[in-house]
Amino acid sequence: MKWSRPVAKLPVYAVIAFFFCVTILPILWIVVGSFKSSAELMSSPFSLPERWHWANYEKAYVTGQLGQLFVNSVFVSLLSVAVCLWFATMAAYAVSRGGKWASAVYVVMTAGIFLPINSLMVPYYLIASHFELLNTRWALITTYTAMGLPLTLLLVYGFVRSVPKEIMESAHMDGAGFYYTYGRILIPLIRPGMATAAIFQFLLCWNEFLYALLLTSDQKVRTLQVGISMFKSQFNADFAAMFAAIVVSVIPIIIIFLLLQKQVIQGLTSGALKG
Amino acid sequence: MKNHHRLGVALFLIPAMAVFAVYFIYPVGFLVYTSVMKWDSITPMEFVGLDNYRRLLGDGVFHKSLLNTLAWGAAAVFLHIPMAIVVAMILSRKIAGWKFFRTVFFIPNLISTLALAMLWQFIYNGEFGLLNELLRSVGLGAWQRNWLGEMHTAFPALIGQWIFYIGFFMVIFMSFISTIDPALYESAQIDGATGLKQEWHITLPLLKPAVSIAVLLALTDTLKNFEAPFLLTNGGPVNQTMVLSLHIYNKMNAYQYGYANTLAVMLIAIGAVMVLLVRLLFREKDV
Amino acid sequence: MKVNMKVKSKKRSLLLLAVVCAVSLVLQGCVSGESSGRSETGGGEAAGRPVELVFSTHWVGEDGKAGVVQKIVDDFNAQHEGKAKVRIDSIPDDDIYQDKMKTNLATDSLPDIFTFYYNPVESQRYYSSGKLLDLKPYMNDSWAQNMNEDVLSIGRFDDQLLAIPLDQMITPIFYNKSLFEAAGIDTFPQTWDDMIEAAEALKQNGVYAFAMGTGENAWSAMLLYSYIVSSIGGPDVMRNGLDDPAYVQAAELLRQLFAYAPKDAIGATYQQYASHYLNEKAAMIVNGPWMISEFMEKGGEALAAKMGVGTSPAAQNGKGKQGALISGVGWTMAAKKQEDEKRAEYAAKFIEFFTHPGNAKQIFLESGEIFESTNYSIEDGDPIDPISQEILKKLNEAPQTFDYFEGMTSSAVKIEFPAALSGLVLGEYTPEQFVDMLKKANSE
Repeated sequence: MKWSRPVAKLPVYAVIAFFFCVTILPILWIVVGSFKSSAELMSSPFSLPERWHWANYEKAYVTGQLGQLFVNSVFVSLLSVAVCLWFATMAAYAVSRGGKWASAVYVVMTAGIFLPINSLMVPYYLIASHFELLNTRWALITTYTAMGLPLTLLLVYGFVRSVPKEIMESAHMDGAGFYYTYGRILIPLIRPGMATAAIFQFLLCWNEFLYALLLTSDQKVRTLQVGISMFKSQFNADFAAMFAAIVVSVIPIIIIFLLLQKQVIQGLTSGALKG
Repeated sequence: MKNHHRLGVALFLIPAMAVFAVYFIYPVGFLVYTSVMKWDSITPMEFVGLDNYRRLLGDGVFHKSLLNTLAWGAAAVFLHIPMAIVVAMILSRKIAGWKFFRTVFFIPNLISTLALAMLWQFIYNGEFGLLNELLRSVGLGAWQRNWLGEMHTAFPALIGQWIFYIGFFMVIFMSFISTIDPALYESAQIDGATGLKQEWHITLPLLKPAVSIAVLLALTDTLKNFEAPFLLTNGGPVNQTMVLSLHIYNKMNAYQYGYANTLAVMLIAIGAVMVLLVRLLFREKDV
Repeated sequence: MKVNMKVKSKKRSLLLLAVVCAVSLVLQGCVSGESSGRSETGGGEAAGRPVELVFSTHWVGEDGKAGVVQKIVDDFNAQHEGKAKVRIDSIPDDDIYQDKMKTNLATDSLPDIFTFYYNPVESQRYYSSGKLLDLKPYMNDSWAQNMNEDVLSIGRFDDQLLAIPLDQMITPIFYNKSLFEAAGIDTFPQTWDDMIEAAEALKQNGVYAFAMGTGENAWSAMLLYSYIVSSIGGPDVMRNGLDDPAYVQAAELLRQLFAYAPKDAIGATYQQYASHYLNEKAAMIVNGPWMISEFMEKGGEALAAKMGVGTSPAAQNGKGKQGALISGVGWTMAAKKQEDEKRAEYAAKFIEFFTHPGNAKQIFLESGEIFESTNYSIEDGDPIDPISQEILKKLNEAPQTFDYFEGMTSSAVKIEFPAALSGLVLGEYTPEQFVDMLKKANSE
């Protein structure tokens, strides 16, 4: 797959260069900002640091208690991604094999992406309290799984639908049962889609702040975003340390993103869909 | 081959439906129930019938936030998504460094909104902002202004700080493009179709399901949009950048939970209408 | 078949996931070994375990009182070793803190000990909820003697004592003495006309008079407005509702003063306009003593030495007096109504301990914030920074004290204020319309 005419390359690279500039600006700004002093960050936001303050990273890690919070974030996010994908792939498969009513269930469930999450503090608090999950990581895992389920289902079902009918039918001919087809044929085929959905679910869990604070009261079960926010209140803020905390917290998701992207490419290059 | 697996279908739907019942049906019921109440969240609720819904008619801030939501949604569908498609198509062609660009373009989604909002406040700042500096250096000093603080520039500026961060949708499109059979392109190549024509005739039609998902998601984000307006402008000046979620938040903070939940019910209703519209537009035989 | 190969790699990634989960489970088992599970249930006294109480506070992280509050909690825990243990639930940012407390109040899940901002309108909601512990039975003589009865009275409701006032919110007009000098102003303006003259002189000299903005809750602008309203309408003006003509007149003057604010004033957040003041690009800011630590942190001794403490100018024919200061009760501390008598007792004990003169004084010395509800005396040798001393001196000399607007109105008005203010400054609203917007919010 090469461009058939070399002329086309110029506008193509112009487009990419433009988006690159727009995107790299915040990344650079935050990384450079994380080495400034907090006062310098506010007074000359776009200069290079006068002195490189490595201490910001130390402060971010120690004061922000990032170590414990990091472990919590990983735990909550991974479990939520796993449960969410599990439920969503099962449901998506069922919808694709089911009749009209299953489709109706799908439509109603995906409409859940419109729920204004910020309005649901009271009911979601009551749910977590009812199941006696308050102030545990499970409160966050369950809530995030529920929040992300409609989007995950929507994405996964899009991929399930794109699996050629012939594959499923031939599997059926070969005598593959309902459950076997799900685990052994469908799941491997939709891995690129699952990876995509996993990225978004992970993102939701990793970046969520409001409920992480609301449903817990102990720093020991909270997540990274709560730690990052500790550096800022209306009247007192250490933005430089906050930026350092942001840099520290973003690196693992970039790694996860890269790992999952590899899955996507594998699905692509091995031509899984050709069967 | 359908209908043989009623039990399996039902079993496989149960977990998702259980979650949905607890975390969506119950809260929506709660929102609808409290939307006909006067409730400050502390003292007992008081039934007021449709008073809260009538109040919507006279609520100028609600109207303004609806208009803003519409404008934002239009920008998402007609600018944001097309840009994401173009970039996804380009990177899917595996141009030099495509893996690097794909990761870089996605990173803004990973950075906390708070930091991004601060950056854009500094860019748009009327006192020492980067944009003003830039304008002055190219001789457009007369255009300098306090971008987020003026009636006519605040909302466009707010959209401007988001519209180029296409990484989210780009990833979705790229993963869909990756499922397209390369043989299709090869045969087109043999027929002498140029790259552009290939994209137009092969990729785009096959991306239809992805586009429908993206449109749905973009409209969702638009409707639920909260953090950027909250952090960058707090809805100001004079509610010029007010959006529904922020309006709801303000009403909750003012202890007007009944009315806030009425607004939330409206938000869900608008969302439901949007889902139906998108489904009609992108209707496919099997959905 | 290719599918089989896929299955293998699928298994591998599942295995990887399982390993990561297991590792993080083990890790967190190690880190949080002693306190896994929920801790808010039950009294536990029967089993001989100490009573564990949760104290939710936003005095954590970057807050100037974070260190001393932590120390007070540690001291309390040491004193009641084996009987009671207070655990801090840290919530950064007072806005987020208040949101969470509101949700907790609505869902009947208040923490054992918490704080809320005193406000005649909003505090009633907490008082009348029936969910607060009556502290009256626990207030023994020694505790009562430590408190100022007239301040304490705001925590009384229906013959109960539901909240203990903590700090006195004193917000002077900080000014930069060297910028004033450079502009040829030798005394802090005594009237608002002087103020405009001074602002003009500062402008000629290339600096802005006021660091303020309409972002967030428009904090400093709201305090300036409070000064103007009170100097026109008198110290009691805010108790009489928004119909007083002082509100409209004050709005007109505030609009004029905004001409001397930085160009980014519309929409500027506290961090933005405060940095104009700290960078000496603006000569005045209205704010509380918690800013003193920032003078030191961001500008060092040199900047701190330039700081002056200004008081209210007088308005022509106004009822307020020159020299007055804004001063009102800030945060109050309360406990949740408990079923377990032991928990109630220790919650009350903690509040008593927190407001003990020694601790209140310690907070003052560390942060400059005045915990005036408690009687403590300041000795000559106490290490008080000069700016705090100046504030105390001005407070003693003040002929009157003023309320601050946000502390006297409902949340709805507080939220409407910045929006209406941006309209006023941009010329979208007349001063009358500005006040009408506030009234409308108040009546909803």
